[in-house]
Amino acid sequence: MSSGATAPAGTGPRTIVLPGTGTQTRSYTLPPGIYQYVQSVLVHVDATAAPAVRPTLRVKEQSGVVIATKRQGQPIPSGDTGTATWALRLVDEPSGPGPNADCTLGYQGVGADVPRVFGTVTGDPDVTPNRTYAPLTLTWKFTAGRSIFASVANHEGYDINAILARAVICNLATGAFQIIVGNNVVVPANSTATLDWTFQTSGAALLNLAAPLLPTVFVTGIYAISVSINVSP
Amino acid sequence: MPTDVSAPLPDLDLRDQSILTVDTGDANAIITKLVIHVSQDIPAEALAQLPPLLAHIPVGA
Repeated sequence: MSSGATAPAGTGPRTIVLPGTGTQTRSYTLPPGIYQYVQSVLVHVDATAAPAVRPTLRVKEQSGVVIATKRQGQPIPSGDTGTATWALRLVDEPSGPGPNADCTLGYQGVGADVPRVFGTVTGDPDVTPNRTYAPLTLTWKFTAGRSIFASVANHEGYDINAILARAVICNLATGAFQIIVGNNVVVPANSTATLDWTFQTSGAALLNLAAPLLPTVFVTGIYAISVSINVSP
Repeated sequence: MPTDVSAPLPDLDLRDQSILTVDTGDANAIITKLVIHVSQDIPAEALAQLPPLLAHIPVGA
């Protein structure tokens, strides 16, 4: 049984308003002995300290079996507050890839001098240890209003080196550059976004968008770097 | 500036004690308020008085 509130049986409120519990979920249980036809569900969300979120409505019948789920097509952006509504006779808002849709950029072999571009995967690269590499640039374009944040994934079978990156947006209309600070930025329309990667010798794979570092020599071993960019609408 | 998003509500005929749950999907995205709008309440015993709308009608009845 969920911890959601239940309206008293026998009462007839048309609108039930429940405060949040300080968590990411909130439930409402239809009262016993009463038939209520749900016409709308609305939540107020505080995402000021969260990434972009697309709330999901889940419906369970009395037995606990989930009989329907519906996720919002558009997100409430990171750092923002907002509302999410589910109502009858609405249509889905346009949506794109979810926050965890990987757009794999390809492999950058430690040993290759040519940067990989978006969508290109050329197979497992040969790697050469003890080499110093110049920063590489990966470029891609997004449609208006898309937010980006980057994550780094380990490549199976390889020890992944640490990757530090800086993201820069160029507005093609104005020529203005914006250096991204933080991990979730909305890319304006008609822009390109460039991720400058640099490398260091040790540490867990991580993404640091705050400041780039100069490349250093790798220790002996085999490395492969797999990068994915998560795109949310 | 607050952002408002919306989506269709599954049009379901729910029995009493069905549970509606909203999950933001991230522990740091907090739900501060839940608002449910429902039709007029109908006591279950009142519904029991109605004939079943989809009942089988015997031949000759």
